[in-house]
Amino acid sequence: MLKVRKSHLLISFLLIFLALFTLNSKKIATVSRNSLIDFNSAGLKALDGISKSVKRIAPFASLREENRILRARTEILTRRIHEAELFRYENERLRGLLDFKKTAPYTSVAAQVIGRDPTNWSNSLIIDKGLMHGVRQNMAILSPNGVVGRVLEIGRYSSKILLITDTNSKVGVVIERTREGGVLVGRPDGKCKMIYIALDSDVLPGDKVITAGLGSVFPKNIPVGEIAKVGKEPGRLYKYAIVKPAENLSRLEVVLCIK
Amino acid sequence: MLFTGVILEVTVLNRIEIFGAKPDILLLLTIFTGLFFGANKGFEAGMVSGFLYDIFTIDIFGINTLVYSLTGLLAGFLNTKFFKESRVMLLFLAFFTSLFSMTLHFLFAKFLSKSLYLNLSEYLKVSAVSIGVYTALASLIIFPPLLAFYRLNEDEDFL
Repeated sequence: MLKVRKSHLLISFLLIFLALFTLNSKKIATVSRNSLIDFNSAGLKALDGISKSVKRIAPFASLREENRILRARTEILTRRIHEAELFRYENERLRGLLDFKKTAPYTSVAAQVIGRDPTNWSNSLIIDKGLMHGVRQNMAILSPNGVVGRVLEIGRYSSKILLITDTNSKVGVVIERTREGGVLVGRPDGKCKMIYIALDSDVLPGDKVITAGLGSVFPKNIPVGEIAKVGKEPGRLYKYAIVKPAENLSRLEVVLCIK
Repeated sequence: MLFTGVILEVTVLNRIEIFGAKPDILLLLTIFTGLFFGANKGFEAGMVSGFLYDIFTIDIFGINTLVYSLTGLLAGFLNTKFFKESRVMLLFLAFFTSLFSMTLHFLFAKFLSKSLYLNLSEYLKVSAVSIGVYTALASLIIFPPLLAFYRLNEDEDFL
């Protein structure tokens, strides 16, 4: 049999269960985790600083840095062009049918990704902006190519982002071509699954998926991804679609928090 | 060593993704400790690894501590049952223990989180098996130097 000290095991399990069930209560968890975010981000920022110093010493470092900045600017401009196209499309489609009110422009806070979730179960990011920079809980996080996720936990100087590929994430979406709605849930393999698609829907691989704008987190018509596969689960009354996110979430460096 | 492992994962190793699977260094260290040092050490390594993950992840707080502790304990239980000098056996043990760890994680998450849409068969199909294979293959690279390091410092505390 196992040669494990019984008292040792008992105390450890008690501690684990205490942490698991007590800290999972919302108030204590929020206070302790928000403090931990800042504690972690200090270390991550220090590491980030060291890595940047090394890059500066290395040859061609300045060119690399300049290239990075130019790429980030290009990406932001691409996003703006895409947004403009989406607004124009929306206008053309609804003009004459509705007294369409143009969506209010939103302001954003740019943030750098300083850490990623180490586990294979969750998908999250840590960004270098927090309460002090105007970031608030449940703010939408976008990248130049589309939706990234939403703010889940906030510290004073950093925040944790729940990515759309996390198993706990749910986003209201529509298929751009057919305007059919559904719910996008995350999968642990880095893709998403759109559920509750009507059986008679003619959804096809390659169709673009955009945000529905329902709820108060994500603005309407932001690109989410592209349908890779369509199927029907046995015993269910709906179709599902596997969606490849518009943004490569494992390579993200800069994001926008939308107010 | 475990703390260095988690820092590496948060900053660098997360970028090495194959089919959505990331290298789980702390799981490998937990399995290694259990397999080569027994249930007590495996349990302790698992507890520290899980706690470090709980700090950095957005998962249900405490779930990683619980899962990794039990994984270390299982690896420790397997310590006396199998011949560990065989690489094929180590590959199999690493695959089996990591699959156990992920299945356990899923079951606890399903029990604690009401909003989880995923079911076990889908989880195993899209994620757990590929992560298990990844972890097993990574064990072939990571275990030999760890073992050599341990044998060099046999008198000192490994962790």
